[in-house]
Amino acid sequence: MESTAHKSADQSEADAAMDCYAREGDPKAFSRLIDLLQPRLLGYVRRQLHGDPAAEDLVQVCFLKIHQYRGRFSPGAAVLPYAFAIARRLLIDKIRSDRRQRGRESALVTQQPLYGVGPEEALAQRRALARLESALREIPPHHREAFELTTLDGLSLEDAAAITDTTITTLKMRKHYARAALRERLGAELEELLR
Amino acid sequence: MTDLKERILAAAAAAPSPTRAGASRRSVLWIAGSAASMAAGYWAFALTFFGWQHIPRSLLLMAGTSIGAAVVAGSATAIALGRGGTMLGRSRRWLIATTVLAPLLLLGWKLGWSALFGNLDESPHLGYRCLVMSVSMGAIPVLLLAMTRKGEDPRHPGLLGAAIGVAVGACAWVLVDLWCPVAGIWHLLRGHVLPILVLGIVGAALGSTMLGVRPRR
Repeated sequence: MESTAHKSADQSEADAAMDCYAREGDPKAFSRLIDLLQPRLLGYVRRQLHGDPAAEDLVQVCFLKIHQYRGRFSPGAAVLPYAFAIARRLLIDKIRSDRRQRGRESALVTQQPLYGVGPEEALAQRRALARLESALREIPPHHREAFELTTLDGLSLEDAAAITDTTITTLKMRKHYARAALRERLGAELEELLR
Repeated sequence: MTDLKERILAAAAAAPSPTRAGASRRSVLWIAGSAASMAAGYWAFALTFFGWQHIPRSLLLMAGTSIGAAVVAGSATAIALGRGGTMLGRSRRWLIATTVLAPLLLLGWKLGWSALFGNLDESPHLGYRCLVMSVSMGAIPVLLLAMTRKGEDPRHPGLLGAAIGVAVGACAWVLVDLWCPVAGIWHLLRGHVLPILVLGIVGAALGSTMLGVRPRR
């Protein structure tokens, strides 16, 4: 509960910063917005690109789009779903373009270093994450996306439904199917991984 | 992380963008330009090139069809251009409903209201003048209205473009309806509904190329 309340406060602060930036063009407001959104956006993009170094470039483009169209930001609108929707669109374009250019198969395992744990624990965590990611790849993309946005990226059902342009009921069903499919593949380990 | 933030701030500082007041002024200019362009097209075709239709019509018939069509066109325009209070814009369902229902409602209203006055006769005019007039009046406004949402739709730019095209076609319907007295079904389909579909397709094409979020623009 505390975590949810904290997230909501962050989101409200991000909305206020964006509104200020749209209205007055104050660079400090944009700087605050970056502080608030960048970790979540970078985490989302990095996971989708499996540690591809282009993730930072993509997040940069995402913020520049927000900057470019700041004047059209509606008063009272939420910036987080907008930022995620832009990142999602840029990701789709990048993945399509990569497939066209290289026809490459993306790596299954993220190669991000795990800080604050010993080598054995890090290896175990990496293997567990690899199993989760491998299981995620086996489920339908819509189900996977619903699960990732709500469970891994911590977005609300409303925001995730808006980003994927679907209803909350449909999103809940997709998330439920994804969870059931993952539980079938990973068993009790799933809850441990998500903790 | 800090390095990324510095890069973003430096890039933003190097590419100034308008604040809300500036962006609103631009949008007003695009909308005014599209209205002026449509009015100019109407003047050129209905009053000059084709000439005014001096066929007597009941004032109540004319007012009823025009007011009903204006309500549909206004609603379609508000839905297509508005964002519904979020930065993500209207949902797919709203845009599809607008694109599909607007022409059907216009046609249904015109036929229904005209039927009350026993005015459903076909005309020797097949409707090509109405078709040319509507498409000519609507082409530039579709482009100008698309400029108000250029590059900012991350979800379904093609569908948004189609809805804008249909909304412009509905506005053209209102004006052409004042000029054209015919309410025969085949004339209406060829001369009044077909241009809405054409403008919807033009809007969808423009939307796919102009309205979506792209890395370089």
